[in-house]
Amino acid sequence: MKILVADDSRVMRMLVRRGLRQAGYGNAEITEACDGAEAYKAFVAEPSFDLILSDWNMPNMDGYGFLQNVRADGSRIPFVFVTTECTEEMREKAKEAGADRFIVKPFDGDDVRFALEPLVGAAA
Amino acid sequence: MNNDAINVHQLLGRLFEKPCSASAKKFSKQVYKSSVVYGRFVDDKGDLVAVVSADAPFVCYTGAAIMMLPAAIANDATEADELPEELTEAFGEVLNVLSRLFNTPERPHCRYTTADYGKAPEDIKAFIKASSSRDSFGFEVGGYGDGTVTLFAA
Repeated sequence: MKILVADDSRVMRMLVRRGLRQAGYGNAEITEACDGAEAYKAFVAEPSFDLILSDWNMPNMDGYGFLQNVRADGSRIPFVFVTTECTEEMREKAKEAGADRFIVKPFDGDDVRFALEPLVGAAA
Repeated sequence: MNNDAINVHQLLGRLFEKPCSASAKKFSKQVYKSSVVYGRFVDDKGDLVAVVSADAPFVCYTGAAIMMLPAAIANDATEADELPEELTEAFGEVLNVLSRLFNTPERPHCRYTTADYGKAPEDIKAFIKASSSRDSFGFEVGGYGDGTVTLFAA
């Protein structure tokens, strides 16, 4: 499985890796991006990703803009926001743009598993 | 605010792969004077609405625990009265997560922006002096150590 992780915080990218490992996705091939623009560039260069985990607030291009670009390209790749802030307004906006799930920080392996299993199946 | 010890424990405890505990502490000038970091939290308009201060042990132990660094690194930093960049960078995520405690129905979008290390800047001092809510907590990360964090809200 190939996963693209977008977050401007190096620490949070590490925590996402830890959450994936705890959820049983430790064997996934993970590509990291430090903002939405870099993530979109990586997505275009490597269309075979199976899953995207993205922060919402990032410099250059935020997670919402990144999602819009991915969907504008016609991709239905599972897209999960990993955010601290998660209001009903954000959920609605993200859902309309084609987001699949939210994982709210702080999270543990169970949160990650609960969010990802319906999208990509249980970890092998 | 949602800032009782149970909430602080539930929120921060999930950041670490270690057992944690939180307890309410009486706020005092001594607690304030021992702080070495001041995190800023703003609302949608960018106005300062909350501040989090913490002492060096809290910064070092939580920062090291997030990064899964040996406790000795945090102990050495605390004893040397130094805040290594690696620990303060990780501590930023602690502050980021704490922003959730300041969200209210009237102010649902409180977010962490930056932190000042060392002495409190004048605007932070003024905010703290005028704050309506001051809650201190002792927080221990199992296998690392304990420190004190204080939450100030407008």
